[in-house]
This record gives sequence, structure tokens and C-alpha cells, in this order.
Amino acid sequence: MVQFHWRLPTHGDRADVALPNDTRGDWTPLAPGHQAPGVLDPSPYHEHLLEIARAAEIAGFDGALIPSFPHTDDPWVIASAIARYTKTFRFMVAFQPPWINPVYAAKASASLQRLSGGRLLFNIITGGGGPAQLWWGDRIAHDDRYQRTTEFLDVFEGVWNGGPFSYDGKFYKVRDAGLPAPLAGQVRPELYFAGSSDAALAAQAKHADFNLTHMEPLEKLKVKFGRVQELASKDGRDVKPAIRLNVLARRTEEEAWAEVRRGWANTDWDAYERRAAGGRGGDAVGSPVPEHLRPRRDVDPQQLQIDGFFSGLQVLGANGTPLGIVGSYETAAERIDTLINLGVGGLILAGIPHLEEALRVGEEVLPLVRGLREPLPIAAE
Amino acid sequence: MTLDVFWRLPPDGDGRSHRKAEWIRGEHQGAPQRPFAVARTDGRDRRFTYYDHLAQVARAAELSGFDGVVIPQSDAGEEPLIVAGSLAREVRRIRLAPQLPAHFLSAVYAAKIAASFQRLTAGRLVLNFVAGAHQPGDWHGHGWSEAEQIARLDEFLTVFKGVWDAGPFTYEGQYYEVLNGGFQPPLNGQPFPQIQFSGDSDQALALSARHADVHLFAPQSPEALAPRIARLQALAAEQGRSVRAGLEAELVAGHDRDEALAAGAARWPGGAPDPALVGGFADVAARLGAYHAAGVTTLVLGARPHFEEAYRVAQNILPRLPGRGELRRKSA
Repeated sequence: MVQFHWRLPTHGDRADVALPNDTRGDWTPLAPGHQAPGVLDPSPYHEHLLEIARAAEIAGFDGALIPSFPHTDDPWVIASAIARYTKTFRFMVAFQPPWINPVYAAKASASLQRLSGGRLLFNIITGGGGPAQLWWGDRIAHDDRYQRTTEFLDVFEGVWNGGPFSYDGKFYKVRDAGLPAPLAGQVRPELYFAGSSDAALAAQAKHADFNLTHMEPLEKLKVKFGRVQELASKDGRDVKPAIRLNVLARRTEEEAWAEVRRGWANTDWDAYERRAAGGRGGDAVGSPVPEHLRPRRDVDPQQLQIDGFFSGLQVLGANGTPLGIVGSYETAAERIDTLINLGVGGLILAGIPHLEEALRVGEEVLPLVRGLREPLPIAAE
Repeated sequence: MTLDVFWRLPPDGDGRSHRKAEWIRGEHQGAPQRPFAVARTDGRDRRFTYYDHLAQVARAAELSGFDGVVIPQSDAGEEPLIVAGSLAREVRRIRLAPQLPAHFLSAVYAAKIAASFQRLTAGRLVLNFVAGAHQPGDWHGHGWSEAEQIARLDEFLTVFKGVWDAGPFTYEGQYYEVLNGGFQPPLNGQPFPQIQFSGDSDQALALSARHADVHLFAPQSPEALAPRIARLQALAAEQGRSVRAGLEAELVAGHDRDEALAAGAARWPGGAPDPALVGGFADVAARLGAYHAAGVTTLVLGARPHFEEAYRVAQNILPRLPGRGELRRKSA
């Protein structure tokens, strides 16, 4: 069993993967036609996100990650709208637990489970501390953060099925708490959990269902997955690796790479390099991509591959890791099979524009995924 | 007069290709079944049908700025009236234009359905009638000529209008008769639906002059269309009425003109109905603008795949059309 999730572009989108200025959503200046979709005031972009959720649902995805950034709408709000707009689609709320009291978070989650028939998942993010964390009004010492997340989840799970539950932690103290009927006893939301330090893995071993990591070179992934499985098995729990990556798939290899080259040609490379040098936009910092495989204007993008995965998708507006899939529908399915064969139990895929590509990937790529548990040759180039 | 732009729903399946055998949306034409090989975690039966897809296309048309959707009749496709009913609450702004075969319906009963529809949709119903010559192989086997179909539709619409309000309406025609017809509250007093009709014959124009609000023309050059529009308006003026001229057009448009031309050649190996509707977005928009200059004020547009292309056409062509270049929504 593998979970296939899509991803909602809470931060806006491009209407065309190769055209940086054909935008959707009101995070960029509006031009005539660019707000398409956007005529159902007062919440046009919410309408658009709902359409993406429904497209992904019909195309065969299990659910979608709803990412959260300082400038985006809130995933809890989006999730409760999706709950009524889709039939079986699951919604993965990205959130930093400590911003909501754990008993209250449990109550809100139980309500969402009742509303949706148990379709909630979480992407638990443990903030990095420092100024970015203080923007949210949250001061936490770097070394304490996973302990706080662990305590949060201790309490969350402690009260989930009813009380009385008492807890005396460093960050949370609870006395005789527990969700009351009829909120108690709902299906517990599955937890995707980001982070791969020792502290992060220890916290996951206790609570997580999936260890979520961005796409990285396969050798690095193997090491990571090994550590996750080792730690989790100590606690007798099963924590499955999960990967988040972007996909640009077309009918043929040539068509896919032609899209990349069109995007290359339309890129403002001076601005791109300024951003990359500034380490902004998640492009350069912590990049899993070696220097010689980073995107440059004068390189043939098809050369930028590691293990058959393309290392320049951020140039085409992709969010998150630059490493992802470019190729024919068959190639895309093969790469996904490669990951499944490494033990991946959950995938969060995305493509631009997220609406149209949800249908394309669901209709054309997912049916070709075999999910074999036997070694497949990794493409050399 | 500002342009009204309708999007066309695909009645009998859709896909990325112009080759029907490759369409994977819809259940009608033995489309390739593509089961999902890897077991998903969610084992519930999703029971999605082509209606879910049509709802998506209609929502795309609504969100991207079209004024309505035309739901075509086709032998292998879903029934437009049922599709329109299923969409009535999915979309809240745009008009719904099911294509109705008047000759299969009682005029009074059709009026009753329409009145209910107006109540359901707050007056968003458009009735799109067609009268084409009988084709060998038509499943209904009436064998009526176009002329007879138009004569029937003429009486049909007379009765339809006659019973719309309280009546009493009595009529005795060659095909239809009614005694003391007319609806009671709360069905009566609804806004009368917009009536669309199409056809190139003089008889078709004369019917529109008497009954229609919009007469839709098949693709032809603006130069060829102008005298037909003049004829339509002259006939309507004789009735003391006015009728909007419309154009139905299939588009093959893209950022890249050459790519659009290649796709157009694949779509119509023998040449497009009007080659000017194949091309770059700006070219196609200019061509549609030329139709507007020739007197066209309603457009029914379609392109495949209808879902994705609704957004592309809305983003790249609609803002270039006369009177539609303003922001649909002002930023705060």
C-alpha cells in the first residue's frame, strides 16, 4: 500500500509551467485574465484550491498536502472546506503543533474527523527557531524544539480517546483532560513528520506514521530510510519513509524536455541568480544538489540529472526541492517505482499548473506505476 | 453590445488528443480502461462518473470568467437537460444552455421543466434548440426534413411562450394544440429563458426572427457572415424584435502559432472550418474581434481538452476580446 498525495499551491501558481509571469492567485499583481480563476468573490483563490482538490480526487490521488507559509491562507480553513467539497479525498494539514494548545488541537482535529469521515492527516513541522520562528511569535531554543513537539503529540494522543489524562512535561501540563463524547474515539489522524536529525527521528519513532523528506539523491535516501526504520523498529512501531517531489511528465521524453527548455528560455536568469545567491526562496540553502548540477542559463537542462532525476525544477517555479522527475509518462512511473522499491510508503507529488497537472499525472502516470518490490535498474543518466 | 461568451461542454467524452480512441475521460466510447496498479490506501469505492468531470469543466468555465456553458446534444452523450440539472447547484453565476430536441418533448411539459429550472437556478436557463436535416442512421427515425423540424419548432415555441404565464392560452396548430393552458403560482412569472437557435437557411433565420434571442451561426468568414446577420436583423425588425447574432467556433490556439497550426492540422486534416480560428492567442482573439465588428455578440467556444482549455482560453483570449479587457476582479 502506497499513499499518493498531491499538493495544493496555497501560495499561488503559474498558469503555464514555462511562463513565470502567467500567474494565478493574488500573490502577484493581477493582469486581465491572470486572475482566472477568480470571479466568484470574495474568495476566488479558495475556489481554485477546491477545484484542484476535486481534480486530484477524481484523477485518483488519496489526498493532498496543504502547505503553510507566512503569506498563505491557513490549511485548517482550507481543509474544512475540502471536507465538504470532496467525497473521499484526504487533506494533510501542514502545521507547527505548538501554535495550538494540544488539547484544543485534538478537539479541532476530532471535529474535522467527524465532519469528513476521518480524512485528516498532518504534516507535522517542527520549526527551526530563530527569527523565522519569532515572526510567528514563537520563541523556542533550537535544542528544545523536538522535545516540545514530542510533548505536544504525547498530550494530543493522550486525550484523543477520552480521559482522564494527566501530563507533567517541560512545555505542557494537563490535568484530568480528555475529549468528551462524541468527539472522543475518532480515527486518529495519520502523522507525516519532517526532520531527519537524531532528535527528529527519536520524536518520530514515538509518534509518526511517515517520515517525510524532500527528494534527494538515491544513496542519501537509502541511508536516511535505513535510520528511520532502525529507530522506529526499536519502539516496535512502523514508520514508513515518504517523499515529496515535483513531476513534469509529457507524452514523450522530447515533449517533456521541450517544456523545460521553454521554461529555461523564459527565465529571468539575473533575477534567478540573485535569489539563489541570497539563499532565498528555498533554492540554494540545504540544496541536495551538487554545485555542478545546479541550474545555469548556459547549460542544456537535460544534462542536469542525478539517478535519472532532474535537478533544476525550481527554475520552472517548483516549490521545495529542486530534484524531481522530468520525462515521458512511462519514465515518470518508472522513477516512482524506483522510490517505491526503496521502501517509500507515501508520495506527495506536485506539478505546475497544479490543477491541470493533477489530472495529467493521475490519468497518465499513476496507472503505469507498478509498485514492484524488486530491484529496478536506476537509469544511468 | 457587450460580448456574451459561452464555453461548450464535451457531451460524449474528452481527452488530450483529437483522436477519440485515445480519450480517457468518459465511459461511452470504449475508452482505454486504465486501472491503478498500486493499491491505494483508501479502498473506498469512489464512484466517480463522467458527470463529475463535466461539473469540473463547468466550474472551470465559471471561475475563469465565461458567461455560460452550452451543453450539446449527442447520440452517445449524456442528456443535456440532466447535465444542466446536475450543474445547477455546482455553478452559481453562469448560465446553463442545454441543447434540447424540441420534437421529443411536449411543448407544455418543456415549459414546465423550464419554469422549474428557472426557480432552481434563479433564472440562469438558456434553451438552445437545433433543427438539422434528418441523417441516415438517426436513432429516432422520424425522417423529418429540416423544414418540417423548423415548422414544428415554430409551433412548439409559440405554445411554450403561450403557457409560460397564467393564461388561459388556447392554441390549435398543425402539430400542437392546447386548451386553456398556463401555469399557476408559484411556477408562473419566472423570467423567460433565453432562446438560442442555429442554422444557416432562410427558414432558420425566419424562425429566430420570430422566437429566438440569439441566432448561432456556424463557422464562416466574417465577410460571409455579415450579409447573413443583416438578413437576420431585417427579418427580426419585421417582427418588431431584435436578435443577437452568435458564432459557434472550435478553437485551436496556443502561445506558439506554429504549434497551434500543427495541432489544427491534426484536428482537421482537410482544413479547419475557418482557418483563422487556429493560431496564436492574439491572432485568434483578433479574428474573434473581427466577428464582433461584423455584428456577432454571442460566442460559443470550445477546445479540447475542454477542462484545461477553458482556463487557457479564459486567460489568454477573453481579455483580448472587445469590452472584456478589464480585470474581472479588482485587487484590494
